[in-house]
Amino acid sequence: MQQPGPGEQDGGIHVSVPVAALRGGGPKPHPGGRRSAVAYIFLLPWLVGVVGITALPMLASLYLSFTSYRLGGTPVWVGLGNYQRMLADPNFQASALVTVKYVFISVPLQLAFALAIAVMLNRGVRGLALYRSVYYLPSLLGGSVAVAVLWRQLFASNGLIPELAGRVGIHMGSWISDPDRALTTLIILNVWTFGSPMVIFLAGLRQIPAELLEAAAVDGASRWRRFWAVTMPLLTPVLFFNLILQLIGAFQAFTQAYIVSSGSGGPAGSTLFYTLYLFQVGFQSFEMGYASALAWILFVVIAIFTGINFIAARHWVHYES
Amino acid sequence: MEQHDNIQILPEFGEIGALETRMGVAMSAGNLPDVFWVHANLFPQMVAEGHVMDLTDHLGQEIRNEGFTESILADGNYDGRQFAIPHGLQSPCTFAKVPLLEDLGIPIKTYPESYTWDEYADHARLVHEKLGPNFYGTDEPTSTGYYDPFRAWLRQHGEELYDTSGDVGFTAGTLTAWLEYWDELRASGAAVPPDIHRDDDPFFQGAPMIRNLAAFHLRNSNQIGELQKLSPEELVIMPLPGNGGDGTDNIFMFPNQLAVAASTKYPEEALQFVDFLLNDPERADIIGTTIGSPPTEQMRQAIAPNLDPAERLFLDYIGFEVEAGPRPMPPSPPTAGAFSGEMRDTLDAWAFGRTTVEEAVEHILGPAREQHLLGG
Repeated sequence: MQQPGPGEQDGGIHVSVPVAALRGGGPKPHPGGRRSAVAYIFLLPWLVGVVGITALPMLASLYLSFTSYRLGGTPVWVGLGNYQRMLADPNFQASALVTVKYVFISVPLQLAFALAIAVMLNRGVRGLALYRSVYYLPSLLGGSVAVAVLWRQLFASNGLIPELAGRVGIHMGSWISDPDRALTTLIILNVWTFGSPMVIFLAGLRQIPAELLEAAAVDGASRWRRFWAVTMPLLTPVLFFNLILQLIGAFQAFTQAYIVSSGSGGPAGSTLFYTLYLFQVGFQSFEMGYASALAWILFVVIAIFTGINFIAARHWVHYES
Repeated sequence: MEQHDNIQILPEFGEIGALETRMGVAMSAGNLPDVFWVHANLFPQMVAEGHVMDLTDHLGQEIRNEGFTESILADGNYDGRQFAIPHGLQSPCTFAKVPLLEDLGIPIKTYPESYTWDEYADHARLVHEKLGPNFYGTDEPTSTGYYDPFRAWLRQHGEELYDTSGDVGFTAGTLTAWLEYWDELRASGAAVPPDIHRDDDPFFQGAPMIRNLAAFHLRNSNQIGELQKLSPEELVIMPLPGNGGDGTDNIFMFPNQLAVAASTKYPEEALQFVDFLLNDPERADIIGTTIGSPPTEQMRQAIAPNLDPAERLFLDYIGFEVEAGPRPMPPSPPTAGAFSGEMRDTLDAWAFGRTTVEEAVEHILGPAREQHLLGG
């Protein structure tokens, strides 16, 4: 019998063992080869997925982004033509602007809201598990078609929100069909789905050593001071994690705008998210070459924003180690 | 199927708005269904690239074609060959609330007569004057992407939405006049304001007429059955303004068409099934007018006894249009979806006052046309 390798317990083979073996950490040569084969067999579903439905389509779309390709037709090489077209495409610019507004307003609001609720729940509320589940629920439902339909109903002129506002003398009309306010409804929807970052914040708050807070209290720090001087610095890794996840998610938001605007991005282009425009180009106009170029620009933009965040994190994220 | 127990039909249903996308993807992937509902925007490309079976030699053979007039078959014809056959006829029309028109003394005009566009504007204004301020005459169709009333306007001016080369078939002047007509209606309260129009899906249950916000509704005639069920008041189906009287030559229909995939492994069975869908009275009875009127008079007569009065009105309406023998319309170019999408977005901005008529016309006939119809 072989000695258990790193990550191997009780003689059972875990995925981590073959990975270690692949890195040269496992027994060699014969047993390791066999174990590598076993590892590959276990990895096969994942490998097929990554190669077949992620890597290859990405490569294909990269190629198509340099072609003029209408669905069903034959791709014709146009070099940087599609990327140059974006510079003069008003819908590209409009959709990028809508998306940037959505990302930079909804993500900070959502994270602030999630953090506030998490701090509240962290004070030893009775029935915490129930509250946690209830607050988490919108995160499970938020991206769904049903909730987007519900949102449309809530903010339409005869919806619940204008109706309630009307009862207290505020006549707000429809938000959904008002170009100045339609995006706001989608931002509110995103903020409402604060459960997922909240749960992560809550887990982070639980990790903060109580003795640090007690020491600060003994030194006379107020609650507010303890939060800013102790809690927040220790929570920055979690905040950073949430920020990255929510930024990436917000850049890719699609369903809400598609349902609320019936796929048009209206009224007057006010909810034309970048992904919605990409969908229109690809699956309504069938211009797959241009749609691929749009998709690659989105990929690069998200990568740049993520990169900037990682660089900036060196200055504001504090790791205990 | 009881009559053909050796044939198994596997139906696939989908939302009609996504039909073009779905069929486009299936065409590209080479897995079109054996028999399918072909979208008009995709039809030329499907034929040109050999995705659909040439049915010419099967007409009168496996597919019985008695009663299929030349004008009905025209839309499925490509370079003199028949690639698709209509299984449901539909056309644009004007719906209206009967009691409301009677109360206001507005005449109901059915074929062979119709309102002129000026009369339509006058009636819509009267409705708003008498029943406003929160009740309007008509919805404004173009900025929500429903172009058929605009097509009718163009044909009445001797123009078309697309010409035979696939370019736009209309001039800046005609489009400008159309948009100014609706600007005036909106300004006078005769047309529903855009924010109220977009407050719900502008069609079916969300149509302003159904939400009891307007007297008239411009939409496809085959929807009369559904709309009547949604409306407590009696509805009437009238021609589009300008399409009656001396204008019947401008009538046009958009039949829902059936095609057979060129790659089908079951050509015989597929043809048999198409024949069943087109010519079987029992099938016609089951489907009724849901996807439009049956294309032949024989089938229309077969289903008429079981229809409600509103649907019978629709059959009479279509029957007149078939007899009128509409002037052929050039087919939409393969990129019509992209062009009309851009047109919708431009006119949506115009409806909300975000762009002027001049800017909208300039964009549609400039960059939008250049990009989508002239190949960039």
